[in-house]
Amino acid sequence: MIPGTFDYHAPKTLKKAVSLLNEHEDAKILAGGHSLIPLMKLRFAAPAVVIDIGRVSGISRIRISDGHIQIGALTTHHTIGSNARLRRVCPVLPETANEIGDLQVRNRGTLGGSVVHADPAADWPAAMMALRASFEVAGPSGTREVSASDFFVDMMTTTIGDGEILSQIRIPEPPAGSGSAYAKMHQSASGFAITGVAAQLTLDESGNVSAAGVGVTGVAPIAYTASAVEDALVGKAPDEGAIAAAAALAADGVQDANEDHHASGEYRMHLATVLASRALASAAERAKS
Amino acid sequence: MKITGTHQISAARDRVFTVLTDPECLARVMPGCKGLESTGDGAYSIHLAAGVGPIKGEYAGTVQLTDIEAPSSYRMLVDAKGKTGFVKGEGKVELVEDGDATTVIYEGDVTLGGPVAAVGQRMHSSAAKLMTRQLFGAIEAEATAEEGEDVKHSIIRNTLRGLRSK
Amino acid sequence: MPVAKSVGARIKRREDPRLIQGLATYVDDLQLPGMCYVAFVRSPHAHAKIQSIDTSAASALDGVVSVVTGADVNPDVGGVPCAATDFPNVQVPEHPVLAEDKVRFVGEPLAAVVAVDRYVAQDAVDLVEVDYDPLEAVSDAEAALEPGSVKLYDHFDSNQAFTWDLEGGDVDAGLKEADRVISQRFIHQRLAPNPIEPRGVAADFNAGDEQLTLWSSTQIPHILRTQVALMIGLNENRVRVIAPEVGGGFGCKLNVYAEEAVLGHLAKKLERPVKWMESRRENFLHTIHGRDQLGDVEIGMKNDGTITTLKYNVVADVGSYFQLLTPAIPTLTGLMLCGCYQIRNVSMHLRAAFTNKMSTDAYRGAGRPEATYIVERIVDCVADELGLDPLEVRRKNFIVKDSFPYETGTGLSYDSGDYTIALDKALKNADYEGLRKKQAELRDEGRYLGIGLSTYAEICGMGPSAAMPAGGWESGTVRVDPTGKVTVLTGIKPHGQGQETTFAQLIADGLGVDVDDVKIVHGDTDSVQYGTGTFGSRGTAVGGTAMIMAMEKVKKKVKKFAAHMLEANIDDIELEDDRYVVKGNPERGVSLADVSGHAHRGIDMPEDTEPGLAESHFFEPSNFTYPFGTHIAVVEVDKDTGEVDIQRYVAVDDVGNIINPMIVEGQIHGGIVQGLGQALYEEVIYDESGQVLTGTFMDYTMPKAHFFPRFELDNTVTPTPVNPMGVKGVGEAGTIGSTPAIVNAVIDALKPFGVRHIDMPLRPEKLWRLMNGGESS
Ligand SMILES: Cc1cc2nc3c(=O)[nH]c(=O)nc-3n(C[C@H](O)[C@H](O)[C@H](O)COP(=O)(O)OP(=O)(O)OC[C@H]3O[C@@H](n4cnc5c(N)ncnc54)[C@H](O)[C@@H]3O)c2cc1C
Repeated sequence: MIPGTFDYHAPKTLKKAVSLLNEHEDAKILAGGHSLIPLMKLRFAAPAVVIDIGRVSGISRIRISDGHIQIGALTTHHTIGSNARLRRVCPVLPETANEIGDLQVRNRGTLGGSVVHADPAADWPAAMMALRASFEVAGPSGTREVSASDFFVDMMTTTIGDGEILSQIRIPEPPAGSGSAYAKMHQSASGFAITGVAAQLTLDESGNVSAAGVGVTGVAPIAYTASAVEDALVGKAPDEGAIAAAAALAADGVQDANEDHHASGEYRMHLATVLASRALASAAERAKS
Repeated sequence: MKITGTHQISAARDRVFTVLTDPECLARVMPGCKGLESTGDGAYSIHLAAGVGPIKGEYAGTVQLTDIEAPSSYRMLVDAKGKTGFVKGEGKVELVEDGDATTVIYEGDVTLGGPVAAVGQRMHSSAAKLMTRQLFGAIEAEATAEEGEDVKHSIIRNTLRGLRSK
Repeated sequence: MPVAKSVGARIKRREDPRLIQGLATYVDDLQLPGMCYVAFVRSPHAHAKIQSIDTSAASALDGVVSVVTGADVNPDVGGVPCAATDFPNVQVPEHPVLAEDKVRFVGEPLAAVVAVDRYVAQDAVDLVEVDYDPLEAVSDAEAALEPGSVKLYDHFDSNQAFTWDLEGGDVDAGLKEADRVISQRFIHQRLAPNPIEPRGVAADFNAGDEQLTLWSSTQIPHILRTQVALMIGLNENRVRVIAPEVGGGFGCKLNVYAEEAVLGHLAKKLERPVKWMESRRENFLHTIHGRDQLGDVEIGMKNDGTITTLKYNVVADVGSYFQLLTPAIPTLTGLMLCGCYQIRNVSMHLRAAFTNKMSTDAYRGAGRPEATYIVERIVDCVADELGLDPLEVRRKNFIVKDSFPYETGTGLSYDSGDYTIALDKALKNADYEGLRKKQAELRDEGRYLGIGLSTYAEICGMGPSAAMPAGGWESGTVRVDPTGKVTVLTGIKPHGQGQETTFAQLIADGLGVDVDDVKIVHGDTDSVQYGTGTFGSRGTAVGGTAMIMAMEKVKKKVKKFAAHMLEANIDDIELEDDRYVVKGNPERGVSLADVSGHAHRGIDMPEDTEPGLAESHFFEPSNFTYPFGTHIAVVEVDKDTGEVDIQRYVAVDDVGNIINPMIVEGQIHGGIVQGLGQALYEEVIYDESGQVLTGTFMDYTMPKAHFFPRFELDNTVTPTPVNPMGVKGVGEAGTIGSTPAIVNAVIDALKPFGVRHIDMPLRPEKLWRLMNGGESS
């Protein structure tokens, strides 16, 4: 539980952080450290240089304007979980945040760190898929924007290059008549998701679903959008029957589901359907109120 | 840990067999392979920088191909160790012609030992599947690479294509 | 100022302020000038020959002071001791502190690096090149006993470590007498004790005084001193063991480990202070594990629910080597197999198997949770078989109140008990009738409520020396300073049990001083007389008694002085609050400080009386003590996910007289949590090749506070006649009582699905499968 030797930098600006990252071979960004440091202590990761972005300004704020929710990559789970406005505007975000780990973890761990780490059991990716988030990535030659569906490539692998830093997460502000929720089954030891489903529903004036977003984590190597569920709901009234029928499709098309001694692949796929129906039911409830 | 599966590669069986058994090709397609040298009799010494995402480990060991029935089957033994543990594997690979393509059927048993076994169990099977996907993405690229094409480039292309189509 | 009676009061733990404020000193807090840090090279293989070890690169690293292997150390350091090898068919393995020829489990140490800091030490560990020749491993105990299995020890006949048989009454006659016989397999999965502070050792050798000081996070400082002295070849009086603050033990620090001797040896050899702190990963691999028995039980019963016989045929997985008490643990299971029932015909046939795993040894409850689990599951199985309420089967078989002391079929003599009052109180507190009604209603709605009972009795207050592998007595010294403050030296080693508070309460009342005027000293072999240590819920029942006896001697002397000073008859002196007064004349009195001052001046002594005021006592208990109680768990199992929601947990425990209810409740709380941990969450998993798959808290589920509802605790009081305080012991009761309550509750919930038994831990997926037409896998 003793890490190897490394050099440490703590830049104050994003630009400096990007340039440090590109100056050094084998450098790693340190955000909340709650995924990176455990790996370093086990010597499973042994970067030569650690660039701590904890002091970089401008990337730890939540702003809602121009039809977007913008969350800085360095924003902690706790900050998101305790944001009163988000609770009204997009409840799945604080709800997801508050399901992560324990208070200490939420106080240090960041949204950006979590999505870049892309643990197959992490909570955030479900919401990112459901909410159609996009990611602003800063690199040596400027910034680029990547959609959530392109961002997650495979287990613990994203499109972020070695010389890039995730700076902002952008989420379309849910229109009036929307509701969202997260339902999770915890892995008893780690608290990560065995399966987690984030859902957002928007209802039209007649109370039918005009848009649906459903993201599932824990089941496959990366979180995915349960498009079959979404398609099955659009145009329908989100009653118990419609939700149940749609939720049953939550693991459609999943091959190679994750498995370990806590849960088999089959069970995870089953949980996706159960949790999808729970998340959808609360989302519908919230959309109506 | 059992690893079984099939994978279709759009290249002729002879070509695929070569990629799988030729040390030079093998060195290119094995995920994280940093060096592979023949030590004779179907045995190779190998040096890997294997890992998933930020988790990296350097492994050194041997790969042995036996019971080679070109171009349809062989057995493979892998034995490698590094600071974070060791990997031992044994498996059978079969190649079946499928029109212009080839179906690779593999069946193996992999044992992980040491720290990587003790701390990573929740990731074992997913990581193994990930590496298998990477391997086949690379094999496909190698097998279908045009003469002179940068194989690295086509590996990325094929891996991404494979993922998209999932 | 009059002293309020403090025994029985909810006095806050006096040890807590320093713990909460970070003012306590653990091994890791020790810093000595020139201190070096030790890290161990450990086997990644479960079973392998060591072909060669190349330490040259490690030795060459800047900052490395020394690298030693088994070949260097073993000639000078004796093997890891086992105090319990007197068993039929026993094969005792040699247990070198550093493996030399062969490694037999993942995590076995084979070399040690000494360096100027922990980072260099760890870097050097990575540079030690070990060439292993891996061998096939066996991690399944039953498979290990099969003829033809891979053997751990080439020179042994087999992997059978020892056998042990116990029979009371006539089990076959009991089977004949039975109307029905059922059998059931029970698995007690392997658990990791996981104290919050892992193990740690520091050692310092003073060559001038030829004196080794060894700090270790241990429950048994004196036994450790004896053993380490023998292992490293120093006179025992040249070794001082200090157990500083110990952050929990749960039995895993009731042991002597290789690292303790290696550190002592290195300090002596290098003449530099050395320290090693175990990492959590090492703790999972190389600190003893608990439980790990699997066995078949055959039960005979009458149609009215009377149990006529209980036969237990069991394999205990002891791992690769014997640690201090490894073989003794499963025998406690046998002794307690009858629980609180009149089961006259009982037997246990035990075979212990060596496997390529870490050794098992004492973990909170040590052998008794297994017994309680078996017998409490069995009464439920009997009820299920006969269509009776499990309550009825319990009442039918209870040992009745007026039969104490009660001789069990297994040869024990239960001291005192009244199992019905605890049961009745728990039923009332839980509203059992109401719960059953609610259960029926919910079932109609497709919801699955389960109610589980455990009416346990356990054995503690260890124990008479004749029954203990390493002594069962305890020691205490009570010293009164000239100013009247009291210092107690106790041979036990509290590490969370709160005796710095409870012992002070006893002394305060006994001698008429304030609780804050009493200091409890423990854990330093140079200041405290020899003692046995803290384990087996013995601290208060045995250690407390030793102290009380010493205190009584002091008190006798105090009265003698008081009589002399007050010119009264000694028989007329009595303690009234904080003054020793003359009966019928309370204004004539002296305080303890007055007396002690007088006794220490040494002039004007009563006749035949030595000056000073200090006495010791070594107490040998005449019997164990037997707490008991009833635990009731109420759970709801979610059919869609298999998740268990613990809705209520009601416990009524009878641990004899209570010195401090708050501390008793704390012990019960922690105990219940650990018992529920086994039932629902915890399991050390080794794969077929002997690799540990649960090597971190990411995969080994430690129960957490938010998993549980508020426990509803209550008690009855049935004092024990075994010691003058009438206290029984409470350290393990909660763990022992709780596991079957929750398992019975879950199985009760799943009754509509035809479920009769489920093996622990009750993972949601297992339950989901059972509730949805599948087998539990
Ligand atoms: C005890 C515990 C329990 C936990 N429970 C849960 C849980 O229930 N659910 C859950 O989802 N997670 C859980 N986590 C993980 C936690 O949420 C982490 O905080 C999160 O995964 C990583 O965020 P971080 O800020 O700590 O990232 P770090 O550990 O600092 O970094 C993680 C990785 O991302 C990279 N990185 C970080 N930020 C950036 C950036 N802006 N740009 C580019 N690269 C970046 C780093 O280089 C590193 O590779 C738990 C962690 C712990 C320790």
